[in-house]
Amino acid sequence: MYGRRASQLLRELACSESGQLTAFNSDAFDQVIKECKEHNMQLQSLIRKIEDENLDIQTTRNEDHFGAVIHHLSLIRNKRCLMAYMYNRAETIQSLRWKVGPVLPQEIQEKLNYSEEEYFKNHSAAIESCMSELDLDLTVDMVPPKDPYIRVRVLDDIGEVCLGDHSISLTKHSLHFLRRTDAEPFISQGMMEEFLE
Amino acid sequence: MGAAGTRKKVQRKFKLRGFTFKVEALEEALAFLSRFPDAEDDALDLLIDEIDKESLKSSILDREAIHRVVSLLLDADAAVDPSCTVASNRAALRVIDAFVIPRFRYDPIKKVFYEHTGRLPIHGEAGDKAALYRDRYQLLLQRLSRDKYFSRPAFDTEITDSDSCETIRVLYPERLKEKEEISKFPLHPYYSLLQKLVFFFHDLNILLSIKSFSGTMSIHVGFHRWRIEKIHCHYSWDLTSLVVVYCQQKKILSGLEKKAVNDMFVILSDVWLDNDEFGKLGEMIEARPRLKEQSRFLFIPGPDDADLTAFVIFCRIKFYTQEIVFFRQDLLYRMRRSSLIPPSTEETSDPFEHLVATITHQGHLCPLPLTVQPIIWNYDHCLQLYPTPHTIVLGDRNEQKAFKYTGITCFNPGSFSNDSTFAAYRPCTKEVELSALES
Repeated sequence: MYGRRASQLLRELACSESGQLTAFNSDAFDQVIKECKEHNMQLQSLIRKIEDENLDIQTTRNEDHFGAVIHHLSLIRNKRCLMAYMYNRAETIQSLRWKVGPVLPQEIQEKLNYSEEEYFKNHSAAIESCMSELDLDLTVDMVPPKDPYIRVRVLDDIGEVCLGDHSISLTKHSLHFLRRTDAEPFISQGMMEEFLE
Repeated sequence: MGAAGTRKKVQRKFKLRGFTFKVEALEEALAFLSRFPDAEDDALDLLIDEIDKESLKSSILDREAIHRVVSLLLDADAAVDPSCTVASNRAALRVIDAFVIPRFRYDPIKKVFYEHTGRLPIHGEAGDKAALYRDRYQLLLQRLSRDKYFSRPAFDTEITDSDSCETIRVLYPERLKEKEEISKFPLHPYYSLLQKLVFFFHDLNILLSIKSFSGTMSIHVGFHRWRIEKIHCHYSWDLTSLVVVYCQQKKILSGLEKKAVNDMFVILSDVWLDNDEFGKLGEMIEARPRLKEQSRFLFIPGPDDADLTAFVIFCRIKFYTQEIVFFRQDLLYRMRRSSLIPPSTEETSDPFEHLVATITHQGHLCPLPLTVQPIIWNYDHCLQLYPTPHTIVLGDRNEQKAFKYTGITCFNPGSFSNDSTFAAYRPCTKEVELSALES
């Protein structure tokens, strides 16, 4: 059935949880593109056939015309499905920059197609250039904080990092009292959690 | 501005990009900046941009990541020196060591090529022999499966315009341009500082952009071929020599290649020299200083030379951007002896043309069974012509011949010892002049 593969591609997208990425299905994607090419060829050959019979393309309503219409509609539908697939993934990828930071972890990186990686990078670069113009980090404090400081527990061995004026040793399971803006990137990457007594 | 001020500024700038420093990394970055006391801000911006281009594992920068970028920048800085012209002169002609040609194997399930890492012993095990045949088969299968005439149609409808006689022609190397799958190559250690390299097939050389990422390199040629222009820096990488050349340098190289109108290869094949004669040849060359200074001599041993394996009778040369393969073997004779089905005379009855067509279609310099032509099992990949080189020189005993097939110039310089024939090849125009000595 025409257009089934494209809808399967979208169904895959719909089945995954929102905000989560599945691996880019390049096999199915390429297949759909191949189908599009085939539709295009069939469409053109039908139109040529109508022309060869010296019929007016605008008014003819024979079986060739309807065949061509079906191919054309399938083509458009496939295209729309592909666009929707790309668009929805692009949305998710954009949100990753805000949620995860400028560097995606390996597990997510593997799921991206090459062009999506580029998209993420360029999007990230655009945000960063905007932020450096404003001289303001837009990605922190997404929720207005009640307290500029936060108690955190380190979940991963991070090592000695520079935060503000001094360096701090972030070893696993240690407790720290940090500035919220410093701690937020670590929290979003799952390396720290807020420590609540 | 004091050291503390710089430190604060570096940290702040990186913080805005979402990066956090480890202590050693910050030291490294500050050490880099202190090299440029006048242009600290520029250097910092450059560093940040380069860090952005790197694909890092984590947003916490460690010493290694900074060091990689810093050394890349310092290398680039050093390359601006005038001494690099010497390097480009040397790049004109490179002989590629057969033992460093990387071995790529095809994984038919994941549909990727991956590099065989690890040592390849000269004396292989029994499994290596099977692997040789399997690899040859997989390579052909991969080429076939990518072709539109052999792939399954999108629908089960009948395709009206299929042309059965076209199916033989589909193995053309031009098809290489239409890469469709995503392949992953592990990096050669030499270039590990360039981490992930995204590259594009373009002609038979490969254009690639450097995108570093965990030591794997991906070929991506999908529906975004126009991206090639959009990428900042291109690198050219060829499968056989694994040399990463700056695209700028590649442009220089292809420019130089066009200018090298007078550069010529003179190829004498089937020359018999014993020790004395070899000495005489040396004296003759010595007596002509112009010849000695401006030429390079390359001696490729033949199949009957003592102490040599069949493996080294071929040689790969890179001339600017062109790849030239030399093969000294009486291939035509052997191929005709082992041919099971006589070649069809429909298009041509010239056996040499049949031979050229066969080896380009097979993607292998010597597509003979091991019983006919023993080959070191683990180094069979060196004889593969995939991707296809620009020029193949088949040093054969038979009469000299030249034939251009699907963009490959292929010629046999003839036997110098039998009928004093030789060939001259101009790489810039890809012209072959078949010559002979007057007797």
